[in-house]
Amino acid sequence: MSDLGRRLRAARAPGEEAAFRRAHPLALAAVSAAPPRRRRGRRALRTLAPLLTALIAAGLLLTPAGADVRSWISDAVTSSKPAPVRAQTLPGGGRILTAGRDGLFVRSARGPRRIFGDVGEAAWSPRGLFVAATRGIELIAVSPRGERRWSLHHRAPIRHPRWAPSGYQIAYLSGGSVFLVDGDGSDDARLGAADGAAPAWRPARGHSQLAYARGRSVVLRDTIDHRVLFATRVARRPLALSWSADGERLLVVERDRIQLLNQFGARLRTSHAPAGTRNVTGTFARSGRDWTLVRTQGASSRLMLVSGQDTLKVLELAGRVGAITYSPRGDWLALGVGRSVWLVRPGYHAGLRGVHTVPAHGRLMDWAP
Amino acid sequence: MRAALRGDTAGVDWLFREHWPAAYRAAWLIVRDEAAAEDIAQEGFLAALRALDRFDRARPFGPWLRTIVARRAIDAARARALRREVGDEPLAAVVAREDIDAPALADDVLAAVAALPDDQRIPIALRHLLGFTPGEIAELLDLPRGTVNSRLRRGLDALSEALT
Repeated sequence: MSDLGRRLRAARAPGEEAAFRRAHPLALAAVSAAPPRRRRGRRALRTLAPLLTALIAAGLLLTPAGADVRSWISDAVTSSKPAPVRAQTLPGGGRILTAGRDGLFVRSARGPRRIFGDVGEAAWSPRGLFVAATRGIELIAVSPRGERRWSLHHRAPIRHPRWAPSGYQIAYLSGGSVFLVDGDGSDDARLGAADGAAPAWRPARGHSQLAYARGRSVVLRDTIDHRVLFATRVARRPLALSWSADGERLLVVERDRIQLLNQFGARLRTSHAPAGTRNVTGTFARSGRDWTLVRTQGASSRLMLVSGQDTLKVLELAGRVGAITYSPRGDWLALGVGRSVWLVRPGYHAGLRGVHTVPAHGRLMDWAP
Repeated sequence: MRAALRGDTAGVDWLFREHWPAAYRAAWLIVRDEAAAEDIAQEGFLAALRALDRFDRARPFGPWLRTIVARRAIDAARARALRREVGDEPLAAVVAREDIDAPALADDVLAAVAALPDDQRIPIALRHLLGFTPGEIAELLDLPRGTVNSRLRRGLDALSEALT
């Protein structure tokens, strides 16, 4: 071995020790889960081979760092179908909420459960203790067991209920206005004129602030004293608003561009969609400042991860992605594709590490602990 | 090796400690991304473990694992380059990690190799860390052997300059 080789073998690469600590138990678990191998007795070996493969695969699937072994999807249009999630697993954990004409469903590792009837939209409370659901002109608070706690109604249809991070209030749109109601159904009050995109609560400790769209403006308003903190003009009606976890960046998704605003409404960055494509939705990750964007081109949808100046196109699929939401821990991403839910694990160089489908009962709504 | 073939945890533990670090380091030098390197090394090791039944005990485990890791890392680096999204100006992709702060690495040799461009760094890692011959590297990278030799030479020259 050359001197250079010896030096390289003696060095420690960045992240090596931590990676070793994570990978080591996985390797041992993979072999200890398998039955002892025999050089003789090929019949027994043949019998056990599928079991061994299944055990290793299960170990990989359930182990974060190894999940990508499960499947690998190129960024070409996927002709290979993602693996369906088994009944007793839900990558990313927590509970996924889907809504449609078949009712309101909660899907957890224990399987899907219908908790309520036909609803339009639904959103979890921050800790997943309640669901705010809409049914035409009605807003309904439902427990995960399906008990109706309270409801209110307006003259116009109610859309986009969003629970505040504190859990104390719910914001929603109705009849060209944004309203706030307390989590117990009391003090329903209009906050201001609003339309279009779902309102987005700013995750700022000690503050209660809501961003919403009003025509071609994005407004940030204090929900305690109702002060307008900023109103920033944008080019088109926003389709989606999303705050970074630190509450210092607001992602504004418009049909043909993306804008990043800071907490004071100043424009930090604008990105135009390439010709022939349209932005659909976008969301910040649960932590950090990476974000995810969905674009359509013709009949296909494209999922992209954006990290700093890097944009990775990670998945292109036939069909329309209508909604995206991160898992509670932020390590998985759910895509609502028609009436099915795709679960992907955003990752490093190729972007995707695992892809699964959940047999959903309606459109993807939310993902809670 | 025999212990690992019997499914003995101690045997696998020995194989892991003996071979995984070099696999990770090589993957890191090729892709220069910690998460990617971790997954590549782990995938490679587990793939090798799964195939232990078919393994020819007359051949050493290390080179076999290193070949798996090298192929996966090269594929990853290529796939990553292909995924650069162009024409989306403000979101322009800078997929290759050119922002690595080489001097921040604890080891000056590793830092110097990491700072080399792809066409020199990858052959250097394959040759001097994983022990592939120039012919084998040419096959892995789908390049003429002469090209590999010249890239190795230029890489070593650049290292010599950086380290002296």
